[in-house]
Amino acid sequence: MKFSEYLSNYENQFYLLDKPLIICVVLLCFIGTIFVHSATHNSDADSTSIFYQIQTKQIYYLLLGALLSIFASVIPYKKIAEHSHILFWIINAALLYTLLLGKVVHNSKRWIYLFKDITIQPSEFCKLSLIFMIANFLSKEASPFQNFSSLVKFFAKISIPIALVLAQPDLGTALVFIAILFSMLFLGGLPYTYLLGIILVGSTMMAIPIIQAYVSLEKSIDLLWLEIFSNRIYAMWFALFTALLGVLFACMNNWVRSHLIFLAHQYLFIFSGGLVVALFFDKFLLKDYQKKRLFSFIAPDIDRWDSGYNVIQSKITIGSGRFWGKGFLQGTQGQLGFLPARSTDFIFSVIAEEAGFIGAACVIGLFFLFIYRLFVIAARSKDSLGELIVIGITVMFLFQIFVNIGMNLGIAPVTGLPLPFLTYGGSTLWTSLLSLGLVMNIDIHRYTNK
Amino acid sequence: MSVAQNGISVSRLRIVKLVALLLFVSMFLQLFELQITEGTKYENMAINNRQQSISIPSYRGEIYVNDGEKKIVENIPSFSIYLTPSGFPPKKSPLFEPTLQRIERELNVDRNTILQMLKLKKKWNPHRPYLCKQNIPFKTILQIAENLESYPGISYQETPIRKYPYGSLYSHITGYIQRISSERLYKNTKLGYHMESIVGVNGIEYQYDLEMRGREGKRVQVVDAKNRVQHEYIPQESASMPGYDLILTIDDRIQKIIKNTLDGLTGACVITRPHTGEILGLYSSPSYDPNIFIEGVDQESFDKIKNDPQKPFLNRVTQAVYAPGSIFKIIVSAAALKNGFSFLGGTFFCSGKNLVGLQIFKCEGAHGWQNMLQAMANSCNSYYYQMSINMGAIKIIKMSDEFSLGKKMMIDLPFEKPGRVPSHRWKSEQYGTFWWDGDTANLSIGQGYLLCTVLQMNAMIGAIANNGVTKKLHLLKKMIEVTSGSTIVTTEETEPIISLLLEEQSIKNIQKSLRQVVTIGTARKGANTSLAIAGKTGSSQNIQGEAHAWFVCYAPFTSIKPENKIALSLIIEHGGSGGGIAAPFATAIMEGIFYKTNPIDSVLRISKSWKRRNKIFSNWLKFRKIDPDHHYLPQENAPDLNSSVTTEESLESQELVPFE
Repeated sequence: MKFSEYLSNYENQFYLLDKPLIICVVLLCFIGTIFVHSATHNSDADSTSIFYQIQTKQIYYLLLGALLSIFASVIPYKKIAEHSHILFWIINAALLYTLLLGKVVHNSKRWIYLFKDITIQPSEFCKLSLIFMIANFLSKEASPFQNFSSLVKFFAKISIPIALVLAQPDLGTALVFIAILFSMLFLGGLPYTYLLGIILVGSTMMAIPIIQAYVSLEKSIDLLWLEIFSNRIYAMWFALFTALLGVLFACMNNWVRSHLIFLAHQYLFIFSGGLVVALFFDKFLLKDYQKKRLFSFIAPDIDRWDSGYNVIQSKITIGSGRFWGKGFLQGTQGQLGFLPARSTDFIFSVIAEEAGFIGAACVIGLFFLFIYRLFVIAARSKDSLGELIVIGITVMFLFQIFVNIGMNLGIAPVTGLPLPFLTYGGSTLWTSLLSLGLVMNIDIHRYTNK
Repeated sequence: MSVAQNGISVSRLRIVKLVALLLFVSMFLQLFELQITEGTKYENMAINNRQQSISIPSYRGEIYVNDGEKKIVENIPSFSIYLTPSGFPPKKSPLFEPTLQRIERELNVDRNTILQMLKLKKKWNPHRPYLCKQNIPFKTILQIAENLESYPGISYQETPIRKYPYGSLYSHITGYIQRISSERLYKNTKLGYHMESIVGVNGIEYQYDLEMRGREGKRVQVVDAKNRVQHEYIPQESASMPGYDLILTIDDRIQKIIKNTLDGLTGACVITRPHTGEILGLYSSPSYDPNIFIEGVDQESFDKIKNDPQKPFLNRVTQAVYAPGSIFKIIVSAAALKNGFSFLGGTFFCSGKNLVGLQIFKCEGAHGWQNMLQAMANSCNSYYYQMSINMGAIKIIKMSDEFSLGKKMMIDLPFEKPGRVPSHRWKSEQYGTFWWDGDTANLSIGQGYLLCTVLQMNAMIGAIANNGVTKKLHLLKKMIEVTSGSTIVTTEETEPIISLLLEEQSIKNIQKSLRQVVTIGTARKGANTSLAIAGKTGSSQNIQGEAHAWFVCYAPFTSIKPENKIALSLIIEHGGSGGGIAAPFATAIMEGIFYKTNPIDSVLRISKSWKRRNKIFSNWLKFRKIDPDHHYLPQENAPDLNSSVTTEESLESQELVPFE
């Protein structure tokens, strides 16, 4: 299909656009802009003219984003999916470039300079490229989970951007990649046994740094069993013991292997292996501040003025908004600077403080409607590639919404993930609007593509 | 599992949808929890975040002696430095160590104090200033003010501190102030104290703490996250109110005379005017310098004072109890006269020993036949044993009660001891045994179970001097409101605390006998002076060591105006004989007051014929670096003191007054 045909299709099928979805996004973008204004209008750097202020920039981003969205809704997405690996490698190169020559903010390199002081965040765009890759893999391979070597190759490829993003370090975005990957694989029919193993290893990998952070923060605790998680020698003996146990089981007859005890041992084996790996590569996997953040999500009061500060302040900000809110620009926590990163990570807290329960519930409601519409669009898509792309985008949004609002509310760890459409920032807004354009693109072709 | 051709599994999509729904429900529920269920809690936390209430310290009243001009407790400006932990360079920064060293060296702040404060950062708001060190010299403050940049995180503030310009002279009267103890804070929750309150710990500072402290004001500051003040206001009824100034009854000159005399001894002396109840001088030796509590004292030197066996912190006038010894014979005599015993007529024979029950009670000498006048002058124990057993202990106990022994004197100093008057019932409750005549005999000479304070004995002799009435003894003369200068409280008209139901003649008789004690009796050597004083010596036996030396007296003996009479009671712990040790010092104080002579010269003159080998006396000389063989030389301006005994008639013509 030629580009002109796409355009004519678009004109003909304008009525096929999902209006509730678009209304949701427009409302969210509007709310985002006015609360970015609220969060930044009296910041310390407020000396430049209005055209260079953050809230004005957000409007420029929004206008450019709208164009991108329209652009995305007319591109031949199938062709792009077929050549998704080109996009993938370009983005990976950009990620590598970021890692080498990126702009350092708060000890992490996430941005690269385009012109003078305009920066973009390649990891944001990487999400979309990843969705294309996975969707392409799942829809093109005949039976993706039977061919083991291609599966391994696929995983190896996918793990490159994850590793690059982790090295920035940006745990939140890496988690988004992982969430997209596994939910798409899951929906694409990944066998449950694989899934179980992944969950076991994943939970072990998550548990160890949290426990280590706890041990390092609370030196005084007197729990012997926690020693095993922080002492390499103990962990090695533990792993050796489980390995020997495994050998013993292997020598036994089939009866043992077919029973629950074998399964339990398998988990123990994975756990101890994970433990040893985590202890040896502890420094490379997670930075100290990330561990502290993970831990301060569980017990913010222990490190009140340091890593726990954000969690406590955002909860205070939200809670003090009460039912009706303190009024636009009248919030105390946000306006007096007690809430950190209020135009980015904690924009939801600003809304909850100034617009109260009413406003915050409306925002959650809009997001709910938005996700609901995405599920509807995914379900009515007849084309398996489009379906997978929409699901990938849905999970990306869902995960970001939950982790961001959850960290504002104190039910998810602080990871620095942006809140789609609300958080200030070009890259995240453009990625969100590009995704929206793609969804619309797939949706209006729901009767033409098979 | 229904899988569309390489597409999405529908059943698995249902699971994802369910998860999505659960996530949204959990977000909504948590939002509800934070904003609606726990909204008040977080609202208060937000208020705590942005509002800090700064207390505006109130003016603490100053204390003057009775002339209303000389300050014995004053407020002087002082500077404190504060540390804001967030302003200090972080530990990893290369600036950390140099800054720490500079502050340690130039501001003389202990290194560990700063490190401790930085460590506590986790519990405190690091943007707020915390008190680091008080009492900083002005020079150092100038240095900080000139280059604030080189002391990151350091700020200073002016705060008045308490100063006791006379050091140990008034310490037992004024007491001192300190930060409130947690125990006292929890006991007095309604008095407006808080964690940082500075309160009086002893003396007048404790007694009139509420009156002197005034009311602290409050200022509310609205701050941003970096503790920069956005605006501030004073809430309604939160302005600070100054406390009252106090004028005491203490006479500066008399107080100094007592101190000059008593320094180097372990004892106490109190001088009052029984007619009005004013306390003119009150000194307990050894004393302490209350400024150490203000300037901050290291634990070692504080412990040294605290563990001193001579107990400098003990106010021996009100907080220590002693057996009165022979000076209690005044009360026994009063009881006897009230109950019909004859002053001159009835005699008892003193052979030096008396058998009471199966126990021998001794007298100092064998005085032969004695009437009350002689017995008092000679301090004859035998007379009192026999007379008291005749009279019965009940009468003595009743008279003690009339002299308000065994009760607090309600003086305006804290922690006063009531002393103890034994009774039949008390003994049976305490020891399970009956009162016997031996107890009566012991009681009659002020020994046994009897305990009293120096202040009570002063009130006793004061009542005799003032014809049976002693007004309630007090230290507070006036309370002055600072802003208007008006007098709030005066204690010029106080209720009597002792009001004897005795015939006037009986009191006259006791007075006469007390005069004889000085002229021809036990104090004739020790109180050798031309000044007309009347008094009684006492030596109270105790199990700790040598007897305590007592002397109570009043002067002038024949004064026409009762307000001119002053009463003195003095004890020297383990001094031995009352006539030998206590009387010379008391006489020296009295001479100093009336003749304005140097009390040290008086003591040297009186003790001329004295064995200066006595331990108490040689210590006293050593304290003043006076050669023990020093001979007294009369000074030119001193009145003629060679006429050893002055007649009563000659005294009436010239009225002596204790002070102008």
